[in-house]
Amino acid sequence: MTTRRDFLKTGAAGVAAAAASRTIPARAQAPTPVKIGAVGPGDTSHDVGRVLQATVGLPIQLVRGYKGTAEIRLAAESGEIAGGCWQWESIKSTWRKALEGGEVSIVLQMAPKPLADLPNVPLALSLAKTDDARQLMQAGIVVPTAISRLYALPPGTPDDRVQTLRKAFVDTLHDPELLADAGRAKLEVDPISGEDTERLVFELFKLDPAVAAKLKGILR
Amino acid sequence: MAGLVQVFTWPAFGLMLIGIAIGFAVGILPGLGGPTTLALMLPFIFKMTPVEAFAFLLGMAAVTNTTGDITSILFGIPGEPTTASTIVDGHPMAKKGEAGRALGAAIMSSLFGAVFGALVLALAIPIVRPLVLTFGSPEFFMLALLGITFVASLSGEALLKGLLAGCLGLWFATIGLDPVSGIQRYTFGQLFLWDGIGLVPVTIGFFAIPEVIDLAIQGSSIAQVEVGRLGGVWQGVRDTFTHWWLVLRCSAIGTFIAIIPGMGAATTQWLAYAHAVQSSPDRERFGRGAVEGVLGPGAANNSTLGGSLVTTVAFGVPASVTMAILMGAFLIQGLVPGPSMLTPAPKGHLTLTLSMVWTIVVSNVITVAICFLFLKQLVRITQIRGALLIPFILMLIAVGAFAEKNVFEDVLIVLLFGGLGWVMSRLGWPRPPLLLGLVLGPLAENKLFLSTDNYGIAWLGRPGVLILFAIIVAGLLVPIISARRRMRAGAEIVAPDAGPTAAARTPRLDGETAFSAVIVALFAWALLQSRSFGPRAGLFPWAVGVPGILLGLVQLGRDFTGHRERRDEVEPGPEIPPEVVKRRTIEICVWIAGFWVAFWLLGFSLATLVATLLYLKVAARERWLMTVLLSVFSFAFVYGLFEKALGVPFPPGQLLVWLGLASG
Repeated sequence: MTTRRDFLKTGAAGVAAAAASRTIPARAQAPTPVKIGAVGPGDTSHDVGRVLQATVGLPIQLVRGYKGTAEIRLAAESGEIAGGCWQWESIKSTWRKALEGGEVSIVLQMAPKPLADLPNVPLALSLAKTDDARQLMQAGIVVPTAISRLYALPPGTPDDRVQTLRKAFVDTLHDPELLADAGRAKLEVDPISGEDTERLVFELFKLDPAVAAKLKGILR
Repeated sequence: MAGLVQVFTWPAFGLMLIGIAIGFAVGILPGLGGPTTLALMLPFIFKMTPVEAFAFLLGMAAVTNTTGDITSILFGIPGEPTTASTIVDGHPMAKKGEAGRALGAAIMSSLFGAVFGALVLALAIPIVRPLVLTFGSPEFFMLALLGITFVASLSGEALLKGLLAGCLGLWFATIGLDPVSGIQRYTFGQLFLWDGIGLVPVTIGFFAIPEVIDLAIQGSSIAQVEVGRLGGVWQGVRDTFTHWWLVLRCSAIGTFIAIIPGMGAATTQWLAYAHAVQSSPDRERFGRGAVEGVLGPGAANNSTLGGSLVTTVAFGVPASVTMAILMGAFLIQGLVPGPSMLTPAPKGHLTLTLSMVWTIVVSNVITVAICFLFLKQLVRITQIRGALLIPFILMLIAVGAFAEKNVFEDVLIVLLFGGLGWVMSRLGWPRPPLLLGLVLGPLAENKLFLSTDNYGIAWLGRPGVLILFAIIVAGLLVPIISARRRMRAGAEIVAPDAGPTAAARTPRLDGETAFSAVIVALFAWALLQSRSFGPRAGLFPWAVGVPGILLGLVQLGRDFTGHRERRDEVEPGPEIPPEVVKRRTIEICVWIAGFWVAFWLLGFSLATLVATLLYLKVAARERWLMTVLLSVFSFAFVYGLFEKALGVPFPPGQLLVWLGLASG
């Protein structure tokens, strides 16, 4: 049983980036699987790829074991792999030059609706053909990428404390000084409230047991 | 020049001086690592400009390796894991009364290396990109193997032991959670082992405990002989210039190897040391106090900073923990590492990059100047009676081991590896390959896994892999062939039957055979355990365990049948009767155990007071005044500096918890 475990997260949305300009349909017909770099199970870079493989049949080969997205970037630039999938905020900041120069293209986004600065990049959800696939994507991609950096309190924490902390976090993340620091570091602060995070987490607990079992198998 | 001017503007210069002061102290004190301190200082840079921030952080990072060499040479305790190799020849030099010379050589070569690395940073960034991008995961894996076999090949006739020690180090690196699947490997269910075995406690224990035992056996000061002016600081400085070509080559090793992500100063120091040995016509002097053995690592561990910065600045890929923290600093300052760092303003930040180069140069010049002011006083430490130093060194070992991760179990790890290091040094097993295996293990495992996951077994056929494999084989075979030639030539000169005698080849069941048997048993157990890890987590334990057990069996066979390499006694000093050696060894081992029990029962500060007092009065038979003064000084050092000033969260003594005087 869980109560009030999640109360805030800062914004993040997974985006699949490839170190060459190709489109998803072109990749789907590729004769050999496209190599995508990943950290390991439990990480966006891995889990998104696994769910896409299972639900859309995307012909990708996940190469696991990279220590982080910096290594994936380097491997993509050296041609060892074709690309990877991780937070758009991070890609925008660390791969900016390559994005601007057209050496890196964004081919797919995992958000529930298109991000403001990626209006023409297709949504992963739009590729799902069956209800089953949509459910798996929602539970395995959309929700986890939406709550990627959350703060949690132990079960049984008094409600007034939860509310105080929720307000403190929201106030902090709207603090002009903090936003100025973040702006200087070119970091995006896009929080969602504790209430919304809680709703997303409880959505996962209501998942159909058959879908949950299938997802477990996929993410292993 | 704009970069240089920026370094000398206020407050950047003041902040650099503060950084240098912190780095100076952190480098000298074992356990307090440069990366940890950098991480702690990161929040302070939010309000600084980029030039100020990097003057502060790089000033700190640039000097820890220089001052870490001081502790390594004087006490045989690595001040930083990146200065362990300086011990191998630096500490024997101190024992020979040449501490000043060793320190002079280490510090001057450090300056040389740092300036070299900084210059490369300025010049190499534009050309390094295609170089690094040429290497894929399989080539990186082979490079890690090359590093270990290169150092193992220096073991001369004990090549097999060197390779086995390397395998052992690689195996130790597999302890903990598998980085991909999260499966526990060889953790015995212990939470503290999930994160693996820390490099700091292993390095400290591996070198410092055998030195303490040796100091107690010798019963003299660290410096066992007086050599006058030859042992002086200026002689070391002169040595740096005499061997300028070696210093330059080792600086280049430090810088260019560090450009490879994952290869930091903990690796480059050993490669530079190995190169110093390999390029010397007189290899036998190494390990006994050869100044070249200090110059090589001294230059390399400092030149590494420039090399590591190249990948961080050029690609935004941090090559080491220190660089990962500096990368955080880049992001905090709103800078994106990459080509813009080499573009002049207003489009880029070239001036900032050049100010980094100058910060490294200027902070090293200042540190060297400060060091030279105090070196003569520092050298006197080696003339103090060993008995007075032993409690202080033991305290430093324990505190240093604890302070990295603040877990008491590391204090036990230091003891375990201290025992292993002592046994290995007694039985003629080379220790550097084990340490390098431990350092390079995570990189090797990661790259092996990536290569296999990406290419299956096809990576074995890549041209780069085949070339590196050929270099490894040649590196292993050449020393064997030349050693055989030397032996044959020597045998012809001395006597036709001067090789191992028939008596020497009778079956032997002694310490050496037992140690080899333990190694074989360990690898057998490790392989047995790894059956349950699955293909992902089991790949590397198998890749290490299979050659480990095979080499171990050959070594066991050699030991049992009496095929043993010639071993030289390396310790200088007066002859001590074997029974005295035995008695003193047992006594110091009991005292070490006693100190550790005291740390556990009384907590670090109180244990330092009590155990130092007891040791000085009972074992060293010092006068009361000296005993009390030194005990109180040691207590004040631990309590005042570590517990209060640095806020190291020492656990309360278990006895005090039982008595209700402290909470657990």
